[in-house]
Amino acid sequence: MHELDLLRTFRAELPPAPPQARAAARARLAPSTRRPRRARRAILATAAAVATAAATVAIVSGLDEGQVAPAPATASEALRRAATVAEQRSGPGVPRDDQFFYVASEGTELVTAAPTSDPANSYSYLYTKRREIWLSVDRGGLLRDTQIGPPRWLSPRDERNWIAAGRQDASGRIGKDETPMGAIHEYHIGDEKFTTAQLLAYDPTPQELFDRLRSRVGDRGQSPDGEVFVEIADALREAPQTPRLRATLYRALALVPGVQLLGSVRDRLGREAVAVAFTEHTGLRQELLFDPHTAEVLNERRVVVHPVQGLRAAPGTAIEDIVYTRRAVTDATTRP
Amino acid sequence: VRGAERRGSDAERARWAARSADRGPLVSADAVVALPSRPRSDAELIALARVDPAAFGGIFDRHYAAIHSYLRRRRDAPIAEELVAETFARALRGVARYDDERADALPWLFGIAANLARRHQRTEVRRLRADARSGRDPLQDEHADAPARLDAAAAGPQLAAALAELRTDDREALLLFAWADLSYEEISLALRIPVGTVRSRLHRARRTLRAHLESEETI
Repeated sequence: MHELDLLRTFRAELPPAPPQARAAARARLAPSTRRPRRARRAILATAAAVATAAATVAIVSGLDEGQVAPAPATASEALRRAATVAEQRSGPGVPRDDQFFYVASEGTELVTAAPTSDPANSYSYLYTKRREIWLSVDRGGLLRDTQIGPPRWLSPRDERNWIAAGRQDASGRIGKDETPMGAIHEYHIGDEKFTTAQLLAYDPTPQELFDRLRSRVGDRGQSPDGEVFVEIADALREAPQTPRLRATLYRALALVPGVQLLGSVRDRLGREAVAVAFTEHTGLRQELLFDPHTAEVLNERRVVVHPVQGLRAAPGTAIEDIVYTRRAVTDATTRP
Repeated sequence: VRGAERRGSDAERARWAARSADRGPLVSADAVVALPSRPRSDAELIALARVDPAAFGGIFDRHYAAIHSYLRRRRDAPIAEELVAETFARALRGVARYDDERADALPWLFGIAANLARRHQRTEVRRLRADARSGRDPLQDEHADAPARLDAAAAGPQLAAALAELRTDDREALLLFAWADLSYEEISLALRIPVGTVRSRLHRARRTLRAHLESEETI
C-alpha cells in the first residue's frame, strides 16, 4: 500500500465532535461580534497542564531515613547518586517476552480557552487521565485510559465563564477506554530498537550512551541537548531496564550540557523526590523527579519559566504534569 | 450562471464538490451551483462578516467538520474541541486581513489550525512515540472496523513512529497534504511558504515515512 494512502486512512474514522461542542464553538463566535474590536493579543486555547510549580514543589531537607545526608550540590552529583542507588536496586526488572511490563500513571493537562476576544471571559480547567499500560514483547497488551472526574476549575470565575460559554456538557464526558494492543516486538532507546536479549546485554559507558543519543538526534526536539534529556526520560518512563542500564541512563543524563538541579522536592503526590531539569530556549523547563531511594521516575513536568510566545500561562505554571504510581512485571494483563 | 461565476472555474468547482463529497453528504458539481444553502463563496461571506460578523456563522457551518477532523487526528477529543473553537474565534478576529482573491477559506483556516496545533508539538511527538511503542493507536476509535482500514491499523505504530521522527515543519506540510487534503499551492498559502519549499518538505517527509514502513516489512 502506498505510504500516503496508508497515512490518509490513519485515524481517519474518529468520531465527529459531539453536537454540544460544536454548538458551544459556534456560540463563541457570537458575543465577540457585539464588542468593539480591540487590538489585543489573541489568547491561545492551550492544552497546557497544571497547577503552579511554586505551589506543588515544597523544598524538603535532604534527610535520608534518620541519617543526615548532605543535599546534592549539583545535578551531576544528584544523578550520580541516583545511578549508585539504581545499581543496588533490582527495580521492577525486565519481563520475559511472554510477560508484561505494567506502568500506572496519572497525567493532568490544563485546558485554557478564550470564548471571546475579551480575556476576562477566558476559562481554564484541569483534565486528568489515569493511564495503565501492559506492554509485552510477544503477547497482546492492554491500555486502559480513565478520565478522572469532571473538569476541575482553577477558580470559581473559570467555572462561571465555562458555563457562560455553553460548555456544561463537558462534565458528562467521564469515560473509561480499554483497548487491546498488539505485541511491542522490541524496546526503544532514542531511535534504536532492542530485543529483550539485546536490552539485557546492552552495557555502554555513560559517555558512549550520551554520544550515541546525541549523534542520532537529528532535527528532533527543540534543541539537541534538550532532546537527549527527553530521550533518556523516555527510556526511564514506561520501559524496563536492568539495574546497570538504569544507572547508565542516569549517568548519561548527568552529561547533558545545561542539565540543572532543582533540589530535594515533593512530587505532586507528596512523595520525596530529587528534581533535575532542562530549560529550553523557548522558556519551557522539562523536569524529571525521581525517588532518591529507588531511582524510579516519579513525576515529569513541563513548567513555564519565562513568558513563552503565544502561551498565556504565567511563569511558574506547569503545563504538563504526569505522576507514575506503579511499575511492575506481570504474567497477565491484570493489576500487580 | 451566477453561482458558477462565484465558484470560479469548472475545475475549481469540481474540486470543491469532490472535497464536499469526502467530508459530508454527497454533492455533485452541478448541485453545488444550484444549492440554495451555499449561495456565497467563502470570500464573500468573509467580506460580509467584516460588517456583519453573524455572516461568519456560514464559514463555521461549512468548515467546522473538516477542521475538527484534522485536529482530532492530532489531539485528544477535549483538546481538539478547544482548538477547533479557537481556530474559528481567531479566524473571525482576522477577517479584516483575509485576501478576498481566495474564494475558498479552507487553506486559511487550516493554516490557523496548524499554527495552534504546532504549539503543542512536544506533547504530540511524545504521544506519537508512546503510540509507536505501545503497538496500537489510542487516538483511533476502537469501534471503527472498516476492512479498508485494516492495513492502516496494522501499520499504525510505524506511522506514529515515522510522524514522531519528522521535522516539525515537514510534519505540518505532510499532515496538511494527507489529512487536510490541501494542494501544494494551498499548503503554501496556509503556511506562508513558497511552493518549492512545500515540495521539498513533502518529499523529505514521504521519504521518512517510506523508510519506516519498509524497515518494518523486512523484519
